[in-house]
Amino acid sequence: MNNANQNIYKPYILRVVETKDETPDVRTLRLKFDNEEEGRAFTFKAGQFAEYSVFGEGECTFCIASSPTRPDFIECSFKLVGKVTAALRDCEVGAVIGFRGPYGNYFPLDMMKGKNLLFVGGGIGLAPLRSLFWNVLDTRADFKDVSILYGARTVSDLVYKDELKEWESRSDVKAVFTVDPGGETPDWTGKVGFVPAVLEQMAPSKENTIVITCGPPIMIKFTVQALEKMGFAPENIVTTLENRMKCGLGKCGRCNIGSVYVCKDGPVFTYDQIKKMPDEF
Amino acid sequence: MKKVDKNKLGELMQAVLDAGKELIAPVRQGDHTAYARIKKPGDAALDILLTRMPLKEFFLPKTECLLKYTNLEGGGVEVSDPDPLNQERVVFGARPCDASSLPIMDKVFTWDYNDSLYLARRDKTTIVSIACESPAASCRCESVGISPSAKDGSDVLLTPIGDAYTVDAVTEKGEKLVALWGSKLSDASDADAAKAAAFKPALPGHQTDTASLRGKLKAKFETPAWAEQTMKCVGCGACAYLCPTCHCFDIVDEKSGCGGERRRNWDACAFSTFTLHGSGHNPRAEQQHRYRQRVMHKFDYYPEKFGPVACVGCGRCLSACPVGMDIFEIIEKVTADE
Ligand code: SF4
Ligand code: FES
Repeated sequence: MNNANQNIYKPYILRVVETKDETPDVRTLRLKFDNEEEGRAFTFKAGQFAEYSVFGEGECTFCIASSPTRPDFIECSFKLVGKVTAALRDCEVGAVIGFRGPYGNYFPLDMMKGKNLLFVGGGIGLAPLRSLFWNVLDTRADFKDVSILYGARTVSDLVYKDELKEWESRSDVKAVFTVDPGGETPDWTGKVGFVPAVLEQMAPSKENTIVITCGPPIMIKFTVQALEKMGFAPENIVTTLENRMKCGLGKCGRCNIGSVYVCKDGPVFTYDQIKKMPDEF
Repeated sequence: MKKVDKNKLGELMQAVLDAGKELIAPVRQGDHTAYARIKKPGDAALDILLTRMPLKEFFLPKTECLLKYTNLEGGGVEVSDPDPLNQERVVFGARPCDASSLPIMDKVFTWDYNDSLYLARRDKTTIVSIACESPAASCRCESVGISPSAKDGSDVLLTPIGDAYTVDAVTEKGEKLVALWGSKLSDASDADAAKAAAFKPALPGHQTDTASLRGKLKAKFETPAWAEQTMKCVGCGACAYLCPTCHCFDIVDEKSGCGGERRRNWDACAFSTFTLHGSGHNPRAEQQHRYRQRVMHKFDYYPEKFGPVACVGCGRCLSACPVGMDIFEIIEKVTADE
């Protein structure tokens, strides 16, 4: 626990070192600690989140989208939804960003070792999966088969396009990408269909497999239904939840689903845990 | 145990001021009543049973600076902590319910992360409570296991015994204050102590057995009774702002010149925007869901994590609600067998 005199709301100071427009409304910022010593001491695990801020505009909650195995920088990807994300989007290289974190729990990496991993992502929901995905690829020998199914509404809505190509070309990854019907372009070579339907076509084996999924609520709902139909046990389906957050510290009273505080007990939950929560999503 | 004559309380307050400490007491401000800083004992209105505003704002202010920032030339930002609180403070004349709210908030503000701003205020403050001689019809402390002479959260408790109060130092901080008062206090006799122990005014209002009802709440999460019982709530948030234990807050930035502050402001789960996602989705879309959160947080979620319920039974929410919502009645109704 922090020292009782230390201000838990005081952020680290980070600088934007690279920006990238993933889609018309999703941007990725690559950030570095202003103070190198703080940067070296900082550690996190895939699945954790942080509060990012533009001074004078406010704070915003996103996962850390980069992998702990690549500790030289921190990346976040966000969709333009309001005042703070608009201010973050306007941050160019050299801009100062406040950063509090890492907060929350993380993906159960130890439990995943020696298993087949199936990632199922939709839209910007790929961001938290990407942190874990690179972590897994960077320690590839610890895992058996690694597959990823990722989809978005349209081709232009796919995030991390360069990385998708890289994953597709790797022999140690099975990568399937899809766009919703009508979202394809003439040169689209991936699948056309909703993520849950494509998942059923893929017919993954449930044996020794952990599924990690994140995406829009409706996609998660049908993905989980499809997985259960294929015999996956709820405790082998892992997801990360989103809720409105302010403090990230279990104090502001905003993020709970029933008695579960997403900022402290989560954001990573197994589907088994989610089933036990009251219906307040 | 010590005692003090009822007409000597002013001297105790004066001793606090003379020792250079800040004095906080119940006061009248026109039609309004609140705890406030006072400069002379005569400004205290100790006859007020319960001020309209709870004590919490001295620990969690309505609005406070979390940090200051200055934009530096050349593009950097310098961040600094708000000015530290150095002043020792004494609250004189808290009610046991208000004092009981502090250990409840302590649990939240020390849960895995210490909130230094809140804790500094707790650390610098000594609470002197006065047991309640004539509780009001809206008092519900016994509904939540507290009583008009409860000691929890108080550093010193004064209990009425005829023309005097017994002075009971509950904590180390309380002992220090009693030592400061020194000869202004006299020794209480065994008979005085026995009178204080027997002090038990009756509560005129209906008390709800929340200890046995709250166990049923979880199973009643989906009951249609929530909608029926909470239909008239207008979502004004008055109940939360006046609640001694409600601690939900928002964090916002305020610019001024070439810098500004990041501030924490009271917020309330009664507001429709409280849980609104950036996408437009709201997990608590209707007022009934928000009122249910209020009840569940206080009587189910908080006790599940921390033990006691997050309600001290002061009854402020019953008195202040513009449409007459009664949280205890609602607990009785939603947990009733259908
Ligand atoms: S219960 Fe009453 S005081 Fe509380 S939000 Fe509803 S209308 Fe306002
Ligand atoms: S984000 Fe503040 S309590 Fe979870």
